[in-house]
Amino acid sequence: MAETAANIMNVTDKPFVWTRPVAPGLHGTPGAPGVTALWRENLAFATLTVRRGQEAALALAAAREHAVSLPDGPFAAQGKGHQGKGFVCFGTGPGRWLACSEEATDLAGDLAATLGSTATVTAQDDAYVAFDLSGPCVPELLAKLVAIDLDPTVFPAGSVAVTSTAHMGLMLWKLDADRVRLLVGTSLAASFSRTLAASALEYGFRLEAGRGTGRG
Amino acid sequence: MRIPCPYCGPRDSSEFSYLGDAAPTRPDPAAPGAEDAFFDYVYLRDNPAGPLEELWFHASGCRQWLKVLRDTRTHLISGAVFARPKAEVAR
Repeated sequence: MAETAANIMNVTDKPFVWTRPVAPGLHGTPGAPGVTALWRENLAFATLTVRRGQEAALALAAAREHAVSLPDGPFAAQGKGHQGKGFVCFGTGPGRWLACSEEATDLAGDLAATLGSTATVTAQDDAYVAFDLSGPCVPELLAKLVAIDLDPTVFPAGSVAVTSTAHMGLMLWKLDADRVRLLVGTSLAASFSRTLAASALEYGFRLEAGRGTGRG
Repeated sequence: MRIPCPYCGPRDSSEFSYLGDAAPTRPDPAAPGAEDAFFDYVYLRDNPAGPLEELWFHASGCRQWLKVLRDTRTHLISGAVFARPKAEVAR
């Protein structure tokens, strides 16, 4: 029997059940999953906020030290960090960026060392949890979660949207043609995993836990 | 209602919080007649039937204050710009 919304939500007499994350594995419609989500807590994050009047100096320093052109809008740009470890930064508002790295061990420290005089750099390593989505039904799933036009003609790879879903803040980042990364606040990750599962059950939903990396 | 955020693009009004008429400016508290000026600033609002420039905060998006031109009769939104010049945007 296909799993129902009630039993994936594990509605039992256990206390605090709504605060628990969805269990890893295949849920909902059996067969090949329409949506696969990889729960990641092993990414490094740092916010970058330009200091007043330092826009040009920051742009110069970022280009010189990290070979990155800081995007003037909600999209991502590749940069080179300390010891050649790559990072990506994307715009979250005028003069504000979020940098994300799969490789750097001290992203905020690296950026502060080079950009700290023109921007405020804040470590956010434990602030966000990423859900990397893939599968043929991701567009249908996202249509239920956010009220944003995600057609590839207007939201190509590298685009980012800072928005909210089910009253939870959400950053949606199109990594490439097939994958979307969702960033949610760490403290909301369990709740968000339930929103995600409830929305994806009909397509077949597989949750992979790439967590437990020792950070946080 | 959809608001065309100059940074994020078109977004649903549920992402924003509303302040109201963008016209009133805070009077100088040291100027003569400041008390009357503050009364007007705090309490008096025009209530036009037609286009009105209003302040909206894009709370769920880029976290910027916007000036949005909305027709109070139809809710037609005909434009939105940053409330502050870009060089001095609030962080």
